[in-house]
Amino acid sequence: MEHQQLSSAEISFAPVHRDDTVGVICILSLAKAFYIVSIFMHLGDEVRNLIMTIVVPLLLFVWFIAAFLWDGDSWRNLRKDYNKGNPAKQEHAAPKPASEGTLK
Amino acid sequence: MSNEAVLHAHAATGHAEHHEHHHHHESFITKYIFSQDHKMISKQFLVTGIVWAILGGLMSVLFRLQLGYPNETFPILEDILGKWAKGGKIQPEFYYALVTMHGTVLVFFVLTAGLSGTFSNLLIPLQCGARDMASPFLNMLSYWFFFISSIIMLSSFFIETGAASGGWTSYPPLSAIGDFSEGSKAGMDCWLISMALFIVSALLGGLNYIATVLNMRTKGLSMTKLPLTIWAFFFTAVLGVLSFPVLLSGAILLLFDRHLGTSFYLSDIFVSKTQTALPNEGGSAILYQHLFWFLGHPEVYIILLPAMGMASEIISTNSRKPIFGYMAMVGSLFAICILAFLVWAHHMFVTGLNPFLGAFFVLLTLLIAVPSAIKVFNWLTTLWKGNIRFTPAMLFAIGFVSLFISGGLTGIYLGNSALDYQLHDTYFVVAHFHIVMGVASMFGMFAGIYHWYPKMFGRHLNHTLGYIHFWVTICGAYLIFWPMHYQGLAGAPRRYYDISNWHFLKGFDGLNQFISTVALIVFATQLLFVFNYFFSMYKGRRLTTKNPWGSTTLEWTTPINPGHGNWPGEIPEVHRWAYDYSKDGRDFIPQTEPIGAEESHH
Amino acid sequence: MAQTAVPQEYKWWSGGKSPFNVSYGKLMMWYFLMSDAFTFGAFLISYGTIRFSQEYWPNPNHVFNAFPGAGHADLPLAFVSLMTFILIISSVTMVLAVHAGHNMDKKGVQKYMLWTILGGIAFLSCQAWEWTHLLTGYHEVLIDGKLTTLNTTVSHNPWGAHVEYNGQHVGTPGPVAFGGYFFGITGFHGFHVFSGVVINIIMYIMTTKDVFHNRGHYEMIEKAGLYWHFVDLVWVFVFLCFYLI
Repeated sequence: MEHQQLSSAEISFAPVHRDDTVGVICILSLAKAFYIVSIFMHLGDEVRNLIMTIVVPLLLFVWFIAAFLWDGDSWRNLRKDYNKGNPAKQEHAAPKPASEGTLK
Repeated sequence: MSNEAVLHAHAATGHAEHHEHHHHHESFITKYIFSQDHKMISKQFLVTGIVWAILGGLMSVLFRLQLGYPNETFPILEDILGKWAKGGKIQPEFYYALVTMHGTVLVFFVLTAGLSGTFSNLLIPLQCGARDMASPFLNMLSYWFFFISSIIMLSSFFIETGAASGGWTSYPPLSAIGDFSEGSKAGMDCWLISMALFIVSALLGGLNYIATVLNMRTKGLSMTKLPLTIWAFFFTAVLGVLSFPVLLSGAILLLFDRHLGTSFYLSDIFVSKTQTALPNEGGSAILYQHLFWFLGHPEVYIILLPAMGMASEIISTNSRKPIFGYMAMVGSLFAICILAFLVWAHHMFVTGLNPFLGAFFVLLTLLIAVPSAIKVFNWLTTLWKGNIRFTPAMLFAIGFVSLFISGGLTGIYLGNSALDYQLHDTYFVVAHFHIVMGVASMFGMFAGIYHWYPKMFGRHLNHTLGYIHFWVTICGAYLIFWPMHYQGLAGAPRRYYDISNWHFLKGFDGLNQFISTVALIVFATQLLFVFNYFFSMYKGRRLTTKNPWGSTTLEWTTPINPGHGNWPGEIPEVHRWAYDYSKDGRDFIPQTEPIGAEESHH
Repeated sequence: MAQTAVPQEYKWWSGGKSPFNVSYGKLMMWYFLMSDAFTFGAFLISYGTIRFSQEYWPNPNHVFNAFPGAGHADLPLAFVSLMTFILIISSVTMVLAVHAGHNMDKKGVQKYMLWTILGGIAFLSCQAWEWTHLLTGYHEVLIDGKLTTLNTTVSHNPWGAHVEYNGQHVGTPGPVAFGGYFFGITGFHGFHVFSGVVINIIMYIMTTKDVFHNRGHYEMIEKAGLYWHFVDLVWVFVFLCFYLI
């Protein structure tokens, strides 16, 4: 992928070529995290209620991550017209220098 | 070594420590300054909070002077403030610094440290039946981090370029680039460093409160027998421990953007003053808003929950009735605590937030109405047909409920993204949050001070001054903030230096003067309270009984002036919940009394 | 943790004792770590948000492919795997130190604490090498139609997409946020490792001075251990976010 002319569609995500492995890697990382916490930190040996008070608040991360990434993805869509090589951009007048590109 | 060895070793050292204190004579420094007694630390928080409240209030008087009388000059201001009020007129840079600092100081220093710092420290050990906080040393550190943070924030006013002036939310890029305004120079660094230290203080305090409530309750005091104050402080601490770190991250990234040339929040910026394009690219200013409000929204509940807890306790005690729906009260506190973390982006509807994502935030935001309504319903039904004693504390607690209803209803308007497009950043928002969170929590704090002052100092506050304080403040609060709804609906933007420039807002000149006048009167009345506070410490009416309000809770079983360790002998055992008022023909039954064989169920 | 048998109907919450059967110190350490998880979480989520907002993100296999002494050999993620291995081994020795503490074995605690401290210092040294390598390694990129060289810093990044230029394939500047987040977050993690090493050294000295032995238990070692494992735990996610995906 490195040594060829890239269109914007191809460079939209760098790890495209291993998208299928990302999910596996995330699950394996979570598994490692689980074992660190339960075995090394001995949380698995504590009273159930203590485990719950530590694990349940971490559920807040679900919405924390989802909402942030969702909005980040939305910014990418909003910026699309300003990006180099974007077809929409080429219909307009000559491109300005990048540092002033978004000034109104 | 087993776990039992650790637990018992702790209990043993705890006892030994306590024993020592009976004989050990404390020096002035260990008793009043570097004290590890939770009661003294709570007073330290309160006095620092009062100083900050006076300063913060004074700031609001100054900028209200500008808003009410934009064309007048006040030569005396130049004598006091120098270049910040050149020609007797508050300068725009100073105005923005005042508005920023007013928000920061009131939200963080007064209503977070001053409110939960004071009352969590005072009441958690006393109402849980503990000798002190879990870790008195970290508790002391918590205050001193707050103190250093205060000093840094205060000192920023004396910097050549003035205090931070980017609003209490300090949004980049304004706050990130010194060339944008005077207040974005050294003042902003002070603000960020002060906030970082404040976060450390809040964490140390919060961890202590949580550990104490969970681990140190006296025998028999199960969680469902806790007074609602403790539940509220507990959830407040949970909110703080989970949300303040996110602000810390946001503040660190902002510091990096300011000084290390990173582009976390900055992208495509052209500085007109220096005619240069900045190299930063790829960052997003909205990211800071997300991080800020991930703390910011829980923060408003950090402010509000202690007031709710104390109002519940005071209303029940002074209605001589059990609190209505105890478990519903705990449940709604819990629900508010959870929802607080899920709704942050409702502050950001107009920033360019994905509107579809915004719809989820509208839904979650409006859900908060449910637990809030449950709480209001329960306060009203607790008052209903009660044998009400209108002590100053009770008046302030009822005032809290009134303000919470008035301010809460406008929250439903603002929680709708469609309406928020019209109302965002207008005086409608200013009115909403001042009533529901600012003044309401101040009322909770006043209620707490009037109610527990006898426990703090062994004397009563002067009640006549208390009644004057209450009536002027509640009338003033509504007179100041109610008209702001109309200004906001008409489109008056908040934070502006002078709104009289627009023709369509001309009609509000008189109203603005009226609001400013009332603000001045209310501020003066608060000074009356401050006088009452310090005067009564030395000259107030002495307590003659341990339990002046006829309360059921544990703090009133301690001596009038409890020493370090709170109870001279054994810690009392608890046998019942905290709300046995007017039961079986008795006015109240303390929590320490065993349940009798004949007793009815509640 | 050795635990005595608990009767079925034991009332954990009735007051007068810890509902979790732990000391307040350990409880506070757990909740502190939870709050610290939110600090790191906020950093990593910010990083993710910015990454999602970009059209292009550098491929870690190309950025992190160097190994000390290996010259220009292409060894993707080899060095960071070594760092991860060092950190996890130091966690293992920490577990052994805690275990020795349970058995009141002072010599054992001392031995394993020393190994843990050594592991921490080794990790920090590796990180220092990796930072130096990125900061001093210049790569050819095309800027405004001219070929220039760039290093990886918080304000620029040579790891952009490749384009065709005069018949050859050359790099362009990549997203600036890459360096900012990489140095910011690994730096913050490194700061935690550093403070962990300092704490461990203090624990070692206290052990040597028989402080814990006289106290009758080695719980402080356990609490320091919790902190140390947390540093390892955070690394799992830093590793995941910066090196693996």
